[in-house]
Amino acid sequence: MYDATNLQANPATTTADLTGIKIGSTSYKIAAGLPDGTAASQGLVWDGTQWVKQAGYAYEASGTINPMKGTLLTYTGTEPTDAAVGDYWVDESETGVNEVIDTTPTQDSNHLVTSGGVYSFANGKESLSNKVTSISASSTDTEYPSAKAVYNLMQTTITSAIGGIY
Amino acid sequence: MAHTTLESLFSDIADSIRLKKGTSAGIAADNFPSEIDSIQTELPS
Repeated sequence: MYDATNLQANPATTTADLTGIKIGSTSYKIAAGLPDGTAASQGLVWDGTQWVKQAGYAYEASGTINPMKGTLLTYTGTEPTDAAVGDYWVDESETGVNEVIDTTPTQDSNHLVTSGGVYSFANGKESLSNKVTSISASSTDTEYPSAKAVYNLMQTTITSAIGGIY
Repeated sequence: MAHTTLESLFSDIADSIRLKKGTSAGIAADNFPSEIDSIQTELPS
């Protein structure tokens, strides 16, 4: 049986197969290191109840099970809620992923945006496919003309009227 | 009289000019000013 008390595996330098580990203590910790060669400072820590942030392992912490956030790079076990060793996650601060979500698109924001926010933002906007560059008797209320189309029509109308004989 | 097009307005102006001058020929819209200037009138006494 492995001594799981301080067992660590650095995926950058070690390809340890940690399956089959049997926990022999009620206060065990299992760390899953990130593949950057610094597993000792970048690992997750499973304290027997939940994943927690701890000095020397450091990662996302919260009061609930499965608090990890970010992008799963490799996945060799079940959900981390069962303390599987070999699941490597990237902290959002290291990937550039910002999980703050805007409900509507916001200028210069690097946040994610909800689908509903995008729909609401786009809904009611004119569709570029309805833009036309000429106006005629067959034009519809769905279409909208370009500024040049309006100018051309006005010029044609006025020139035609002034040039006519009555 | 409300005109809905430039053509209908210009047609009525041309008709008025012809009526005053006793003519029947078509008038180019661009010539409306000179046609109106050439109408003989008497100043009120």
